[in-house]
Amino acid sequence: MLGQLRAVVGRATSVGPFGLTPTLIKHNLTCVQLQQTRNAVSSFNSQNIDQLWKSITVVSKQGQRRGRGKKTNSRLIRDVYKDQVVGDGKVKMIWPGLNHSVLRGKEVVQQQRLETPEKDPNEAVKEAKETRLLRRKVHPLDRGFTSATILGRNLKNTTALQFLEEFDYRVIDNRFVSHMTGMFGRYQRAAIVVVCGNGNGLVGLGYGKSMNKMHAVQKASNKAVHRLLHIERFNNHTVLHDFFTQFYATKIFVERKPEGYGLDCHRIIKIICKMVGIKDIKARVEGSTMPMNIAKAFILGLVRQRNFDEFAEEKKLHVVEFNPKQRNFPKVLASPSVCRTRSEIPTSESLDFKQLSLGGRVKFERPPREPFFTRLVGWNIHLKNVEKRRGAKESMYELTAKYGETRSFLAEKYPEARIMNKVYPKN
Amino acid sequence: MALACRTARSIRSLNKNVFCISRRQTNSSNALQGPKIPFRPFSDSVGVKPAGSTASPAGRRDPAVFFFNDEIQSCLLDLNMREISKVFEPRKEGKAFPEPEVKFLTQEELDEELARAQEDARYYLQLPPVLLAKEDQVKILSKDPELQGLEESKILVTDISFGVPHHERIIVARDTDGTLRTATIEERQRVLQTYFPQEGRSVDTPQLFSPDKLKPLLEKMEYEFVLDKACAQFEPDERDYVSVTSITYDHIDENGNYDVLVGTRHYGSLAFYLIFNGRHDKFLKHCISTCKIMDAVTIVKVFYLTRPDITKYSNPTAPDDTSFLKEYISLYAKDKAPLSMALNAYLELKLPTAEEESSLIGNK
Repeated sequence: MLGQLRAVVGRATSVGPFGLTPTLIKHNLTCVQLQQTRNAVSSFNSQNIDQLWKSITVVSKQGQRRGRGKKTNSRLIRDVYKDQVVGDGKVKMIWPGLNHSVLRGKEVVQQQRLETPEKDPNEAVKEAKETRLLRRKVHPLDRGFTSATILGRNLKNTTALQFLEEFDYRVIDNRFVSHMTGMFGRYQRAAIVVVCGNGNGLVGLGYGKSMNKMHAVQKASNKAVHRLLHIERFNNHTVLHDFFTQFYATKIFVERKPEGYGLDCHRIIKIICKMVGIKDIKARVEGSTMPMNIAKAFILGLVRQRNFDEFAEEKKLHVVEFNPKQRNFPKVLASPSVCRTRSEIPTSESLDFKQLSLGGRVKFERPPREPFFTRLVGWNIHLKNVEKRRGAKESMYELTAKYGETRSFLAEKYPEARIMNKVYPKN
Repeated sequence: MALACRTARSIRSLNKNVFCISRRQTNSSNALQGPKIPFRPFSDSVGVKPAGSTASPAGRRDPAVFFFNDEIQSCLLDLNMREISKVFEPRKEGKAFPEPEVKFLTQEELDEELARAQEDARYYLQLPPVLLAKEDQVKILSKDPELQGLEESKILVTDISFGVPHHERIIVARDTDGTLRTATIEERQRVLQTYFPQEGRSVDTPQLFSPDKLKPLLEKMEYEFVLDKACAQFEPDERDYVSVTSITYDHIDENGNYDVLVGTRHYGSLAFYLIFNGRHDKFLKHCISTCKIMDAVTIVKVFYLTRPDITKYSNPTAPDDTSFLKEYISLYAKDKAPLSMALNAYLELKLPTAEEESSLIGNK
């Protein structure tokens, strides 16, 4: 572009000596734009700067793959026109035809010196300091599993992609998949699994592939929002009942838990629970832990949950909850339209709700293992030592409540019978 | 050694006497009672006198005579049982519970369970007695001045054999001046808590019952907490129990916070305390103005039952008999004007019942 401009200006300035009067120039200047010609044709004129640079720094496709031309050539390529903008320097100038159009409306622009305010030389340094790239701090809840991958990260707050406002998006799987083609050889793409949800019963699972990872994330997120499912919850905090679910080799046992228990499960199940709005759950994954299959198995189990009404109708019995926290008050969760009597129930029929809800599966509860140090020699010695101090903390609290300090009941008579320098028991 | 021998001998002689007394008591009570009445803690241990002599030695009326009356008991229990859902609400008990269980039940089993829940509610809503404080009756068993100065502190001796009721258990004290006497109430509680510890009770009285700690608690309306703690810490005829509960009841009455105790075991006792002391008009007005007309009728009924000298009154025809209330207000109420105004307001603004409402909707 700059080269072209020069050519034009060269032509315009060369008009003067050919005998045209300034007045003529004044009136016929419109023709200046039309006379864009080149005098000489060479490889420097016919190709642009990028092509020129490339001609001397080219590395073959094979070579690129092997890491050739990475270091030395990058040093070779240089921006020749750096800091060489016409009219922009210590003194700012308007050069008509160079950095300004020749005409402004119908007037011819004159060469002009612009007034520039004097700058403090230190200001540039200050500005540079201020505009220095600071590391953006991500909220701990948005960070995801690790800093290395985008797994588990809150996509809305940490990326510049486009999302729906009502939903929250998380990546649960991030892989590179490849296949061979005749044209490109190994064709590699990023494969992303995204879970989205509104935290109030809606959840969607999406899978996207693309050469660019972030583009794959966008594709997967869009798909996830298109495939929303509604999940029923118990009191908006946990699953309806215990269930077992399986997808290929991934088996999951899910347990309903009381309020305040929290999410005690695999991290992918935890993310899905957060998206759905489940707060209290215990889940155990057995078999394969492939992220996509865990997600599918869990969501499948959630969708296949049955209402208490369905259980009541199936068994033709009342479904009643006994909560020891509420003194075992029989809380009727569902009633059938017609209730069976005791005599109508065959003795062979199982009335175990847990067994029915788990579909006959039984979860293996591994007995808690004692810590290793209880098998060491010193453990019994430690127990003997601790035995002397049992109840010391409680009695210390009681004494502090009674006297305001730790002291013996004899302290009234014998002032030395108190602990002057406080020594707290170890346990 | 000599001291121990002497004390043991004295106890043995005392034990014989006590045995005789207790046997006589049981015989006489059997003869009096005839049909067996349900067990009520403290109804026998506080020594309920026949209704003729209602005045205690100090000249005050004894509430125990009325409180353990069967009719009054059933009235007060009705007050407590009117709102049983609060019994089954989760409470802060500071311990982990097993997880809830889901079961399949037939209709009969469900009915049984509901009946059991009702029984449980009745158990948890038992009325804490409203009694007079028992006074110390120290009996000097022997004076042995030769033992004077042998020990620096007094010695408490008790019989810890199994199966003896606590109020019959022999506990004696040997003072430093050699006097052997029966223990005071305070000493008794101390010994009993040491040898037969009860949960939620400590040997020394907790500081929360001291006036400067109790007052802020009452300001925060922690009435149920204070009353529950008092029930756990004291026996109902102890002086501390009587003072703590009466302070709490008075505070509730002053501030009109009766609704805090609705659905707790203390609601009936509060009503009895106020009625017995003739300060129930404010409570009655509160019940009427909050549309608890059944409670109001019960209160008036208990009022008549605790005043044996009033004989001219008609029994309520229904649990929400407003004419019964009107009669009481016109004849016996202290502040007639506010009560009758509250009752009139209630009658005017009487809310339509669920049936009426449904019929109205049906007509539309």
